[in-house]
Amino acid sequence: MNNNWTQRMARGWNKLWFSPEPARNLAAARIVFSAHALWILMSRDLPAISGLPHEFWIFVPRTALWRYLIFPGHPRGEEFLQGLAVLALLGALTGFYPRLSCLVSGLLLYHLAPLETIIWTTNPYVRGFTITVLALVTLSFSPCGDAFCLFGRRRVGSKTNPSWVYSWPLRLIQVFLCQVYLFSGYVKLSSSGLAWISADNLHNWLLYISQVDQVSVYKSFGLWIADHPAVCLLVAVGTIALELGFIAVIFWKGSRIWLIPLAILFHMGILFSMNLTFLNLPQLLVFADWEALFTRLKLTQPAPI
Amino acid sequence: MNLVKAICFAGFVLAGAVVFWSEKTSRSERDRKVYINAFLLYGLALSFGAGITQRESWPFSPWAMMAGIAGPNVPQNPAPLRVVAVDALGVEHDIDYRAWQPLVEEELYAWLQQKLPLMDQQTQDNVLKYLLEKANVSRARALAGEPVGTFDRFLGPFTAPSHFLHPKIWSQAAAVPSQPLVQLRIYKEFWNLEERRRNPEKVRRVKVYEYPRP
Repeated sequence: MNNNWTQRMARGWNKLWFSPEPARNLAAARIVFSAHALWILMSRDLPAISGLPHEFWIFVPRTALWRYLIFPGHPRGEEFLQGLAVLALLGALTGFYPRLSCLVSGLLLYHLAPLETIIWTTNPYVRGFTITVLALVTLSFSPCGDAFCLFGRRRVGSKTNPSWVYSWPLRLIQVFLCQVYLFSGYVKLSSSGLAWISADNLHNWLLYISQVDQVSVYKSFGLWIADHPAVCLLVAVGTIALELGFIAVIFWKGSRIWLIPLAILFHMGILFSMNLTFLNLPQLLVFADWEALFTRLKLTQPAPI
Repeated sequence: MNLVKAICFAGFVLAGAVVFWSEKTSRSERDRKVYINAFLLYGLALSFGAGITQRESWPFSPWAMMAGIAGPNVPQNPAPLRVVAVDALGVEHDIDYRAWQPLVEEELYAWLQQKLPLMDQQTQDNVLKYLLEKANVSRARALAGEPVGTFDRFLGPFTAPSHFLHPKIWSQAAAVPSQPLVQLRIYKEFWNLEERRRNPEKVRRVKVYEYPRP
């Protein structure tokens, strides 16, 4: 009986992580994450943080600086590292030494990303790089360059054949993305209990955000929801249901057809009602079946150089 | 704990490197999957550990977002801040969020809330002097029709926003203070949500810092 259960667990594990996956789906993840990281990196000025006056660094623990290898007062050095990160991300994007490029960019972003918040917190989550660092490092240890490469050598003949070697890294990245929703729902219930799922709570959140005018760009949609208790309750229930249920996209691929658009709608709703962006949104593209899309469009890769 | 967290991430990279190495050296698919499984289990343990215990080990994050209960009164601790600048005529002005770049406004405000009270008076003055200078430089740029901040220097309108959206109050020249800014003030704000809904002016402000001091 026990042995049977163990075998079933092992079969389930293997099915989850090692079911054959097309190379193009993994390579698409490489492109999505490197392009996204470039977008965020080019939209900030992280090296300049290093040049902030001494007073801003007084309360940053020395161990936090060592954790991310941040040494304040060296904006030029940080500029150099950012330049290196940009080059590595371009390499990952185009497939120039894709694995090395993913590793270098992942490690450099581990150092650069915390600069955004380091003066008050060591946890720069929701700033756009959290999943990216994990994804790029994971991709670097996988054959992510077997498709969609403009440069270099590819595994001729095998590049479109589904294989388990393309499956586990993609699935791990997808799990990391699902955890955003799962933990967000979990912490609401664990810290606030069922009281979070109430019309009053959502009503107050919406009013609060609309009244902090430093972050209030869109007001009318949030206030409209706040004025309708039934809609508030529906949104609160829907939020928890989506956050806890999103993990289904890992185990049941068919659910992606409606859960991914629902998640996009959810983030659009948050944007226009609460003025909060979810910078990871484009990363949901890693749930698309790029191989099927290419087959349908009958696109073919150029012959290897 | 910071160093332990660094070691956790280093372990993730190291476990991945072993997977890479096994690709070249493993004799069978089964052998290779042993290393991959170890890597997967390590990554899952760290990421689920961060989520379940709600302790960050970035990039393994707890992803806590708007998890609290919002009451009818705006949270008192920490109370929301408002940073304003006073021009030569004594008029107070809100400051465009782009004026603080390279600092993102929400990061600056969080730092002001948490760290500024811990400083001695001289250090506080140094910080506010720096911020006042930044506000003035950005004001001059806005008046000259130049970009207020630096984030959009590469991507222009395609620049990624920050986690919170902010109104671009200095996008129109008429909204930019025409007089030089001579003083910086920081207020804590308190209000009741329903009262302010009916009357947007119904806010109690307490001045907590100003530079130069009177």
